[in-house]
Amino acid sequence: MADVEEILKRIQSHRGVEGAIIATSEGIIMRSTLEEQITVQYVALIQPLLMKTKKTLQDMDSEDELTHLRLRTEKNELIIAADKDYFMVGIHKPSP
Amino acid sequence: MEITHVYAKLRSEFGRQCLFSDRPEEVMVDIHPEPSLASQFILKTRKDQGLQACRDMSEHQVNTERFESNSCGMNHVEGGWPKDINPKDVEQTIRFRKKVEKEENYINCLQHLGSVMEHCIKQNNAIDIYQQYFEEDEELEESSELPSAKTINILRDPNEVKRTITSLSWHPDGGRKLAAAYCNLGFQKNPKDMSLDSYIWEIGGSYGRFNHRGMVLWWDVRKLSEPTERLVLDPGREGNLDRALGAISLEFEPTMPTKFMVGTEQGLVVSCNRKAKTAAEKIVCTYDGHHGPIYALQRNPFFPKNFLTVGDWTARIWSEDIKESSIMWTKYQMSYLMDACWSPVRPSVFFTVKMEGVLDIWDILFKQSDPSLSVKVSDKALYSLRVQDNGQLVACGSQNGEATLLEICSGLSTLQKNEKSLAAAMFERETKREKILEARQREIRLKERSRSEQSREDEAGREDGEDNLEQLIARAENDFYSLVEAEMRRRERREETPQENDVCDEREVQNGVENGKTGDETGNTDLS
Repeated sequence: MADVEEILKRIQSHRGVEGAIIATSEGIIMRSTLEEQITVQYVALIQPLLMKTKKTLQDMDSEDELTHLRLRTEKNELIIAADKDYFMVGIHKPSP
Repeated sequence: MEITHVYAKLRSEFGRQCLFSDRPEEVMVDIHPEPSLASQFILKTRKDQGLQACRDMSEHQVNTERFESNSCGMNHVEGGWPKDINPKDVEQTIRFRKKVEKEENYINCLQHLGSVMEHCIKQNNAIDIYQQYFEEDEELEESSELPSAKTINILRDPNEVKRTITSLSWHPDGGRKLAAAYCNLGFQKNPKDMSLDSYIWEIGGSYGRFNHRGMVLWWDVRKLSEPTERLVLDPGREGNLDRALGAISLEFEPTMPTKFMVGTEQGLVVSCNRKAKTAAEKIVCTYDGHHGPIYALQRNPFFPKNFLTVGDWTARIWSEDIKESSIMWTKYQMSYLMDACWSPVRPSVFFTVKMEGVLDIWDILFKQSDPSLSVKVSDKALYSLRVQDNGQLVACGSQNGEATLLEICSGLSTLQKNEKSLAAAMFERETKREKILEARQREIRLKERSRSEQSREDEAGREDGEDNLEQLIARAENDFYSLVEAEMRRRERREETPQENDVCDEREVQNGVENGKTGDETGNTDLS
């Protein structure tokens, strides 16, 4: 438990990080630094995207697998680190 | 009823040739239809049937498994819960979460994910990886033409005995009038019939004149009989004529009427203030940098705080604030530099002329190690150089009295985009660098002084000092000889010129190397 806390704290300590979410690959929210509604929205939208991406990569090259996904938007960047069973979402606003 | 036809032939007639003949037909049998038989048959219905000569085919229909889909809105609710847990039951969900968190797999997984995440975040914070390089407004306009200079005109000394052109001056109106001052620079070589005329095509009045006797005299153009003021160039500021330095060149900037600078024979640049009351205050500061007389001294027309000096084998750019050394300098050239001046239109371009008759055009924003353009103007040494105010015409005066007019290509005589700011930035940067070096030197000196004060009673320390000096000398000698040998070997390999040239070059090289050594010892580093 403490390790998980530590990980989240470390991530949040970086400059520009707005939030972090940890969830299982099915979409169960384990931890989040944002409030519940937004977290649910993020997870519900990102989880299928992540599944689709994984499946796509698998189809293209069966030996390859997804390490992380970076979604850069005008306002900020979503970094999604994925694993077989869990995934982590970080919302980062990099200062230029 | 049988229909028969009997054909009879005698045996003896077998094999005999057949003789055919015509005869009219005769009805053999005539069978009439019998209606009673018609009742035994049924009439078939008529139908059309198409006939084609092709293969037989058959037709099949197949349907895949049906997939039913329908569109609907999405209600974001947490999902993915295993079947046995009711998502609405808070206790169950909490229990599930706790269970998952205790798994080792979860923790390992998370640590890995965490490090990946951190890496990305750090990356983002360090640089903008989505940055567009070289945005659209940067069109590199490369002047595809190589720098060049064209000789337009050569004005020769009309006298028989050729004298050197020691200085040139363009008419300030920007016209095409050029004044040239001649004098014979050979020591005691005045033949009797040498004309003493200075061929001045137009008269340009100079404001301050100098002489070799170590004084600066002010002349008023209106009153040419006596100097209005005198200043003795004594570095000790005591007005002592015996210790005065011989002056060679003078720099006066019309926008700063109280200050002026003098370049001396000893390689010192003296900066003076005209308005000061006593002679001692007149000399403000000195800049030491050249090993030989300073033949040219000029402020940059765009950045008056920086000035260019030329003497011995280098050209140096100075900043007024830094007194210890020049901020930029060229590497030691192969022959003496006799004159230099800035381009009036481009702040980063200056011209130099050399003893071997070469005119160099330097562009410090383009290349600092070599001149951008080197033009061999004449076989004789070039002694003076002036650029016309439009920056395109350059006049060089040579030893045999020839003044050559060259036209510089437009690339070197038109102000480029951002050139002023780039040149300003460069001068700033170099000035700052020198300041930092100066500060460091001062620190080191302070430290050494304090250390030497501490060990003043230590005899061994003093002896060590002496030893060090001897060691230094020996080391310097070794370095010097090895350098000379290396240079000689290089030249032999490169050139196949006659013996004389080698000797002259050797002497020059030795001189250059020697000066290079002394340069090193004073702590200067050459960036070439």
